[in-house]
Amino acid sequence: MKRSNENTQEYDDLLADFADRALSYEVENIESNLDEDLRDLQKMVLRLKHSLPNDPVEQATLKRMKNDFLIKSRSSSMRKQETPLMAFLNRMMQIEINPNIILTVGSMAVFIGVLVVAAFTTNTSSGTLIGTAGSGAQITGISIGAGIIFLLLMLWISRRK
Amino acid sequence: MTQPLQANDDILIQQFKNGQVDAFNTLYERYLPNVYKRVRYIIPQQDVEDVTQDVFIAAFKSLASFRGESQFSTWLRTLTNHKVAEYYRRRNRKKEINPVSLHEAMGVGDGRSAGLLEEQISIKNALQDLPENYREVLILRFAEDMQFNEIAKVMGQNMEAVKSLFRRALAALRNQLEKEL
Repeated sequence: MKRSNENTQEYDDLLADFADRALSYEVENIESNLDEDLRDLQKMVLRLKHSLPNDPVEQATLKRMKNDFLIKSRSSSMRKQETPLMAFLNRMMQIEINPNIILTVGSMAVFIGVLVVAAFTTNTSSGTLIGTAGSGAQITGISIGAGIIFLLLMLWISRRK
Repeated sequence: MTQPLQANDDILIQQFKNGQVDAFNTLYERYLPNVYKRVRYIIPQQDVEDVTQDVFIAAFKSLASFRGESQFSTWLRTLTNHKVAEYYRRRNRKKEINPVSLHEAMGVGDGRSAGLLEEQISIKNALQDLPENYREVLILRFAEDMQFNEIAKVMGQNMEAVKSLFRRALAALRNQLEKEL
């Protein structure tokens, strides 16, 4: 059912007024003389009011939180006075390293290591025999192999996320 | 978070910027109940205090860069929303599928029935999935207990627009809750 602008505004006013009265405990039930949609929305108002009541925060909680905050803010002020080196070291100590990052860095290190070893092996084994068949193919093969291992590792890591 | 003593906020902020760190304590006392209520409305009970404290620690650290272009209460509300979003991002990273689980909520031990806790969880989850302006109008009215004329001021809209937004937000929440069933 489509409402005219005027009706919609009246509808908005009725609902807002109902919410005001419900939140000030003047009404506890929906009004039955309204259309179904508005009654549904009034039910939602009451549902929110009952499920998530807006009780005042307990004084004991506020007091405890204030004391905690004073301690935290003081230590935060103290940190402001640290030298940049000390602050950097403290931050480093507090960093929570993601295991996926460790795995990625580790697999990259393995990959680079394989390439370096491969290059070193190829250079030493080829000696002075420039143009010997096989040395180029060997490094290409190792690189492809390492690349495949690296890709598989990355795929495995991304599947774990 | 409407404060009749806005001038005092400005003075306290200035004092804080001039090195009187204690000035922040007054701001903390003044705004703690409202920040707490806002956070309580969308965050699982057992994390409400931590997130609330995170908001104030962040405010404490960045108040020096607050330029006063908006009211302190508005700035603090935005900061609270960021911290809530950050909280849910962190939770999602920990692969917790449901933003709020019944198991966690039961850990609160506040004597409320499991049915009510389940209902609270559903509503908090549904609220989290609403568009920001819908969530905001509901939180301002229900959690912060603001009147519609105050909400209009805070949101920079007229009363009619706010009441219309309120109706659409309630309808969207109802639909979201029906979808979750």
